[in-house]
Amino acid sequence: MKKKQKVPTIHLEPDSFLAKGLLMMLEHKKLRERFWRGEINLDEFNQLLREKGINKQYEHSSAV
Amino acid sequence: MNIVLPYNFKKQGNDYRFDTDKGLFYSVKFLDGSFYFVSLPAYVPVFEMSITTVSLGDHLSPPRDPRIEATIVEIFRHFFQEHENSIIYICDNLDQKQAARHRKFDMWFRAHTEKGLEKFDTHFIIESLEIYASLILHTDNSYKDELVKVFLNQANEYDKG
Repeated sequence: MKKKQKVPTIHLEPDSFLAKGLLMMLEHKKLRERFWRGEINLDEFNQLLREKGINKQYEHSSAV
Repeated sequence: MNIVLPYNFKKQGNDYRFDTDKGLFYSVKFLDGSFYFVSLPAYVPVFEMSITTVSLGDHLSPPRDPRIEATIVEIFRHFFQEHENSIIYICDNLDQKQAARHRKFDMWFRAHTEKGLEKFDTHFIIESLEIYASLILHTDNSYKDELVKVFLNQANEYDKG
């Protein structure tokens, strides 16, 4: 029987490039879901992206 | 053996869309993810996969439909026909079920993807926040070294304490 591989746990410094990138990706994902659920409109979505330091803006909702 | 037929999908750029026979409308997008990782060279393409139910039709929540999974697998295969494509997948931690999501994604990947694709997993804890993430790329990806270095080696550097 094949042994199940354990996912390695790595403690990252919060200000490392990789940690920042992954946290930004997660934040962007959460904001996109709020947009899709209709909780925020496109302007609010773009504003929140700017506030979170995510270097991305959307001109049209179909691109989200 | 039951064969589950995928739905037909339409592709516009990196946006794949399909309708189900239960009246749902899905979008599977591969969004540019290179801007998240400042340590990744600009010429290396990396994407974030986003699956959205654009319309639920008459349903309150998506009904179980194995054809949806089969369609997403087909889209995945299509996307990776371009060998330089790579995906970083991050498990949502909104409801603290990120570990279960990671296990499900891993099972799905093992069950459905064929030879030629590789997956690298990591589990980070950043200020008590748990993050599970995976990098998926084609074995023949010319940027494999750069991608794996960003995804794993840099993390190891910090792991040394």
